[in-house]
Amino acid sequence: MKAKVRKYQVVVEETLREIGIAITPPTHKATAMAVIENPFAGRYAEDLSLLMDIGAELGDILGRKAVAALGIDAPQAQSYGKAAIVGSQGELEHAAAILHPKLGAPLRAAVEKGAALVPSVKKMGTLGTPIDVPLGHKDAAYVRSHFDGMEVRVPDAPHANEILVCVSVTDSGRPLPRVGGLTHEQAEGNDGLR
Amino acid sequence: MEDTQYFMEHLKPLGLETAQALIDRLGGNAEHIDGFGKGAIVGAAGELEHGALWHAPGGYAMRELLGDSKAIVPSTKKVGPAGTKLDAPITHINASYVRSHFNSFEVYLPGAPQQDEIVLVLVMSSGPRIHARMGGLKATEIKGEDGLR
Repeated sequence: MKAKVRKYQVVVEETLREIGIAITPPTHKATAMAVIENPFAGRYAEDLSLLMDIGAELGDILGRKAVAALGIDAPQAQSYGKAAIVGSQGELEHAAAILHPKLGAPLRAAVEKGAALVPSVKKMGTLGTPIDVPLGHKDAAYVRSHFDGMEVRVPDAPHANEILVCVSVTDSGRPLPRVGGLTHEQAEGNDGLR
Repeated sequence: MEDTQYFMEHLKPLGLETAQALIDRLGGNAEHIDGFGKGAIVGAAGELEHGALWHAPGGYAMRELLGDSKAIVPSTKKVGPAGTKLDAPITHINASYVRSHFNSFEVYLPGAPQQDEIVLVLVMSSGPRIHARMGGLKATEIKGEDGLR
């Protein structure tokens, strides 16, 4: 394995009531996180292919950890997202190298299909910096009930020479969706949009 | 309240006004803007779903003023107290898969949202990430048919 991992952390959010209304069944969001050493901390490197390979490893590991934390089978996953926080000796582009070229394919394998774009954010940060992982439906980006986000943080990461990588998966949309638009049931999931 | 959709209509003028203000602040020429995103922070007395009311009015306003852009506007939302930070995702306005434009912008407003308020966020950007070098679909290669590529 190319990634030098210091720790993993998995968070599950289970919502049973929202503004006084019971949510049946409860909604669940999970985010699996890895704190890794940044091999390019403190210097400019033109070729970031090592981080791309690390992205592939983490797409697989974090995708499977998130699905396992939800206690579901892969096809029951409904939405997903990804994010990274780069410690201060790194560069924003290091997050892009992990997230964009190679992380998506193994994540899609972990949730089965995944025709839609995996929404993402990235930023520079320090110990305990929170990040909002955006969420979108895994097979049809226009499913309006599944536009959401999940805020996560690791209190002691990322150090200056580290990167925090996050993958989120859900088994549901928002707790009380009612702003119309395309629904989960209507989604065809062929073109990634509808 | 079960039926909240009427509020989306009420937000349309605000969407257009905010989007135009952003274009003005970025130099006034919509042709120079090629990234966008949005988000909402709902105060403590509201519910997450109230943030979803911003999707249509905020998104359509930007797409309209930026020349009928084709891509979905990426977004995130949450409930939080005054000063809560939000990482608004950013993607290319005409093709979501343009890799150099996957980005985000952390924003917050001191003192807002109060518990009976919502912070509504629109984000625009010009150009790729600084030092973007991840390959993938380029802005110059966009077909512009499906909003993805």
